[in-house]
Amino acid sequence: MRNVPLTRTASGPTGPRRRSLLALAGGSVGAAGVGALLAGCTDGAGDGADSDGRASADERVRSEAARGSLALLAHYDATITTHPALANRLCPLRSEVARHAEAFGSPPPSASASPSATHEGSGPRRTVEVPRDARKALTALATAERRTADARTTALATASPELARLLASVAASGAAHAYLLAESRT
Amino acid sequence: MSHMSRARQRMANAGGVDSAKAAEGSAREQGHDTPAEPTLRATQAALAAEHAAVYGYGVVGGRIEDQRLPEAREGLTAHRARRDALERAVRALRGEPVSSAAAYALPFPVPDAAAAARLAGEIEARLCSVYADLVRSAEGGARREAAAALREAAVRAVRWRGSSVTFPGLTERTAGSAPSTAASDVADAL
Repeated sequence: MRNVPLTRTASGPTGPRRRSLLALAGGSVGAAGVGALLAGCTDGAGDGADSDGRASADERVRSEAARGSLALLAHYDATITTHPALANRLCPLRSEVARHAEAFGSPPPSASASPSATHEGSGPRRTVEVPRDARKALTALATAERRTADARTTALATASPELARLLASVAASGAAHAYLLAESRT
Repeated sequence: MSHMSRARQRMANAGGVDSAKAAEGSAREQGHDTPAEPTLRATQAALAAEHAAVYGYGVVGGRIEDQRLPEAREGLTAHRARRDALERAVRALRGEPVSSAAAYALPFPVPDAAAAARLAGEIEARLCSVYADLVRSAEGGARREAAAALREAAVRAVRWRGSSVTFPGLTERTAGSAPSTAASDVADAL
């Protein structure tokens, strides 16, 4: 994503000029988008009176979302413990889920899923029943990802704008994980 | 779909309408105090991106291997539907929908199937970004639609690329894509 793909060719009095798709998305059309992009989490400037109520509502949504990510992490860990052969495939997805948890304000979880740390019988406490069949285990994990994504999609309806954007992105990531898990061949 | 690729060659020299200016104009008509203005802008941006996606998928369809042609067609159909829905959304916001450009410069040469798949992945990744912004700007049903579109684009991006992204559409959280880079991208293209 370093260069600017799919630019629009535009001609004007000063001669041909190329305008980027990103410019369309964030610059010419939406200066607000660029501002937000540069400023990161500066949302809701001057939101006014109901901002307190919304802030605490957001806090609830945030911690619920973090809990969802932590539950998914536990599911990944349990799956990796039961099926160490899946570790290579699952670890990249697990680390993305860990970053989701952090984005929702959860403290960085321990990297307990490293295959060397998960000896038979001495792994982390199982909170999830993992099917013994590897393919079924992947399907179960895909289902968990999809359900969590659905919950986030529901939650973003009432969230403040910036949190809604984060929830939508993480839900999309979860749906993509579900796709990868369901498609992967064991 | 290979005819669309040939059409691209023909259109490559044609000048496009600067629909970004049209978007600004129609946004201005709403007045700067209208709460709907950021929503309109973000909706127009998503529409412009879907126009580009429809064009880009035409190129993809002309180069992709037969085995993945159904996937390309599926993508094209989905993006046409999103484009049409966004045009309706812009009108509902009392805006004039931005039009498609006659041609779009591609981010890289697309001589073969591998490049076509890469282009499709790139198109979807960029759509994630505009839909994430639309989620932020919109409320209610429009926000839900934008979130659904973001989700679909993210899944399609993963299908084309084979690997996932931690925060689809959130360029400021993407490693290696500092805001300053994004800002210079915006200033002018290529």
